[in-house]
Amino acid sequence: MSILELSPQEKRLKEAHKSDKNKTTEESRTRRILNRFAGTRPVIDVERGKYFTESFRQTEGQPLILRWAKALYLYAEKATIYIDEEQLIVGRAGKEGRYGILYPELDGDFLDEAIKDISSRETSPFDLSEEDREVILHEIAPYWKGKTFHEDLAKALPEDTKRLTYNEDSENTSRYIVNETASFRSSIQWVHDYEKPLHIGFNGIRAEAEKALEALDEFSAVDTMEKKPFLEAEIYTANAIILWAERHAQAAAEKAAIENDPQRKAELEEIARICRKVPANPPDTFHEAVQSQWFIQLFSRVEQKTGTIISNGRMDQYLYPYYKADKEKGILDDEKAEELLECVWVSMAQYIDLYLSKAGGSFNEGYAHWEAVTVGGQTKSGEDATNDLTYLFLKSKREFPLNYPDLAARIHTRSPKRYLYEVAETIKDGSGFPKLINDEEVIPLLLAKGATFEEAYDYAVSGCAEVRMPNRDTYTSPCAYINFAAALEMVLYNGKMQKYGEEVIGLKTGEAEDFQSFDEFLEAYLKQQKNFMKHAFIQQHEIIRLRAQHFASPLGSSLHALCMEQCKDIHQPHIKGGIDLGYFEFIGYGTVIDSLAAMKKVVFEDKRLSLARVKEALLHNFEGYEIERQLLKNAPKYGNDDSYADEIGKTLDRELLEYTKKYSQELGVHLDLRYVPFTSNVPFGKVVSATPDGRKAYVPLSDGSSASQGADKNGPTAVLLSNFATKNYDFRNRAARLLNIKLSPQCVKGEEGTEKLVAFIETWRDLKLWHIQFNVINRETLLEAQKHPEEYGNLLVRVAGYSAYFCELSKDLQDDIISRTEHVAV
Amino acid sequence: MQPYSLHDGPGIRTVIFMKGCPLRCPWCSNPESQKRQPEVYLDDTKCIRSFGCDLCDGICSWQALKAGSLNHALCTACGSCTDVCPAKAIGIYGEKKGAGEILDRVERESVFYAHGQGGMTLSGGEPFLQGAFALELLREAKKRRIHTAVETCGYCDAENFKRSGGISGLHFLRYQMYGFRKTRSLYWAGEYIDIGKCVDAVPGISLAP
Repeated sequence: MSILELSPQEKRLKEAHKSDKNKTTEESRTRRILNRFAGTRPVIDVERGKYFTESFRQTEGQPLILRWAKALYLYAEKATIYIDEEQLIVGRAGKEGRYGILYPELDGDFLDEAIKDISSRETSPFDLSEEDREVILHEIAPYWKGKTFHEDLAKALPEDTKRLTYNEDSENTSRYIVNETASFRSSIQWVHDYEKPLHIGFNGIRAEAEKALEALDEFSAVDTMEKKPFLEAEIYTANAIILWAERHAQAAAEKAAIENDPQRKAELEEIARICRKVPANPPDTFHEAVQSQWFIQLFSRVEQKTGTIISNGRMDQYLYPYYKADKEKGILDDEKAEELLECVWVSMAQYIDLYLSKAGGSFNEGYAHWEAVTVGGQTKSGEDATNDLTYLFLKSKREFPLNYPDLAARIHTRSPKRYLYEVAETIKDGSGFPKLINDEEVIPLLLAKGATFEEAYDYAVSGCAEVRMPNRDTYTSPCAYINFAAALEMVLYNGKMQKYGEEVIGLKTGEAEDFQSFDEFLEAYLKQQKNFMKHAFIQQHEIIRLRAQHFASPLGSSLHALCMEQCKDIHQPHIKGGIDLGYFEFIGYGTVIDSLAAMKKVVFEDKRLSLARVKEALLHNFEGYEIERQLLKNAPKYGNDDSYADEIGKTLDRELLEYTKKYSQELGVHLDLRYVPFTSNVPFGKVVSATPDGRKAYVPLSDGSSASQGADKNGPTAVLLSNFATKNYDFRNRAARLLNIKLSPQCVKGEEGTEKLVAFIETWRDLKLWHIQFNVINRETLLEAQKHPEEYGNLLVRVAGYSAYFCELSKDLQDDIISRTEHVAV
Repeated sequence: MQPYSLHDGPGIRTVIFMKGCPLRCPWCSNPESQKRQPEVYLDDTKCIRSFGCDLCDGICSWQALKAGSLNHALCTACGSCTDVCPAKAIGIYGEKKGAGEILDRVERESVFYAHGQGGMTLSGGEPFLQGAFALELLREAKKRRIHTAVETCGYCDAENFKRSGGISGLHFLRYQMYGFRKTRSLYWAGEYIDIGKCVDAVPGISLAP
């Protein structure tokens, strides 16, 4: 029996358990900060929700963007200011420890219901004090009932669209079929242009707005009714963030005055000085730049609930000049720089994205977060962008293994070998970072959508696997996650689904037993698929229209050149000069392909089972039908570089691309085909009964563009090749495909293992696949962690575009991750 | 044929396991490749007899397959049983394939060989037991500019070994734990030479450590 090779993360966990919390005095500052909150339950902080509500009460009737800015100002005035113990970078949006904040503008219609089981729910629970519960029930929730976007959307959708979207309950909970994602977040993933405030400060941004305000034409109705409120809002917002930072300066100075420890006193005085300076003014040092960026990303979180949490752009690029200058002056060394960055990571780690809706919660299990920090890639002029700071970020990830930030590494054909090796070494650590995004796939697609070369080269990773060009991207409306496995089920049951009983939800494509050939079966499926698309686009039409009435982002807009130029909020549907990149999500790709392939082979070609027999087996969830299940299970499957299955995958992909090519233009947005599930493959699976690929009822669907759990039997090379073979490269309407690969530590052992991992990454790059992320872990470790979670509190695993603590995931998701094929070296 | 092989040469490789070996080392990690002829196997862990499946009953004309167990003594490896099992618990080790067919399959992974000097590795069994065929595979790979490596126990026809040196990039010796003298007296078959002597005499062969 061979000895199990452990990843560095696994080794650390074993050692930690042995040494039994023996904290040494040599522990670093950031470690100490981390240990104070690691593994603790997050609590809900009501201040943001409370002050937003208070402000909105006072500003009824005013233009939305102005109301939003005033709410930010009230928050800046009144919110509690914290100067955390030992911290060098200050600012938090909630109570000590891990916290989540409320966005009642989203959840207001069911806020009072949702907080009932918030501490006891299985997925991502939060604690709530009695006092705060009262505030929610009496001060916050009542104001928003009847005012939310969610309620308006439910009213606006036509009957047959609504039938695919919501259950018929008072909360309009999701049916997980054609699932809109616009009511549990204010925006899709997003990246601000962080360089602007670093270059001109918010004083500069305010000056811009003031100048434009001066230049307005008082006789123009548009100027008065649209541009004026926008500019006033920008001025309010700039003042808000400056005030907020100033209050931090005050608090730090007060603390310094009574501080006995001379070192800490000096630190606090420096913090006070810096907070007085930034983000009002451009920073000069690295420390100042980092504090400025932190204030901005934090205030952005206060402003709105950006899906996946606001992403942080190309930090190794825009922070580099400050890093370089400081090092040359001798006032910064790598150790100090790493420490400052770690101060930001531990602050990020305490803000937990709070989802109150059931759908939102289940899509974001394990306190999911994707505040992507991008490193590497190419410069605006197409040269390699790797610098010393890039390596520092990677080093920081290896040495300070925390699941924050969500590190994303851009890979291109001339990425330096050292960069590729260090990326591989970091991946080998086992916590799932960094995820990789492929310049060679992304850049041509951005160009095809109208970006200039400069803009395309300069893209930042955003959210799970997406990309953004700050100052050029202008689309923020969340789009549909579509459960195509449900479409397949509707083919079998003539428009019905076992879960939803006798209700005819989809198209009536006929009784399954009447299909004479696979072509007929496939045609029926494609009809159901197209029907889903029709309703997804109807949803999107309404979403775009209604969002403009409910959401504004004065901070986000102040950081966007086109918004400032046209005095238009970023959530408005048409901003001239912008490129609108949206998407729709295919959930259950592997499951659908495998099911169709199984039907084709077993029923129609080999004729080993009749369709009636298959249906019987499915209705019984394969109990007593093991032979049938095995026959279906052993049919060709996606992920094995088997053209039998892959051809079907390519057809599905193509049909959807054809649809969107035809119908997205009229909506004014590129709605691209994507395969990015978050963790939605789990709740989506819960409404789909047994499927012809041998999958049992209500278990998770396949995730992203990965093979179905356990279906990939020919190794990870075959997985990549199948991915490649199912893409239609002649279309530009395609976006991210999330790909998870699980490797055993044995596969990547030693220097040789790193080499092979690099070779694998280089091939992934050459195949022009958009995304890849690795879990380097032994299955045994995951099974152990399920049995003894108290020993594995720090075990990080890659879930779907993010890493989470394994023990904080629901059992369903844990099982899903365990069932993903682990590729072992032979 | 096994893609994504990481321990059979540099880079990422596809390994071709060839059936048949002159030795019978007790530590062999691929015992199913020792015999030259195709062999039927029954994988108990996949069998679903306990679920009431009896599809393999009566299928074997030689009565080798009865009540879910396989009698190798009676089995002629005709292969008629391999299609019937729904759980794919019955299979056959060893398929006849042509060199072109094999190289077509190997070439599918060629995008992976580009980095780290990956390619095709012949293994088994003992590749040189099918000496002429092994050389054919190596030649075809060379024609297609695919890097090759061979894993050999060294107990093979000297001629084939020498010829392969000119074609293949790398050779691995797999059985260095025990001295050749010891095994040769037990498992000698045919005319073979000591690998040590062979290596000195033959140009173009580099041995992996």
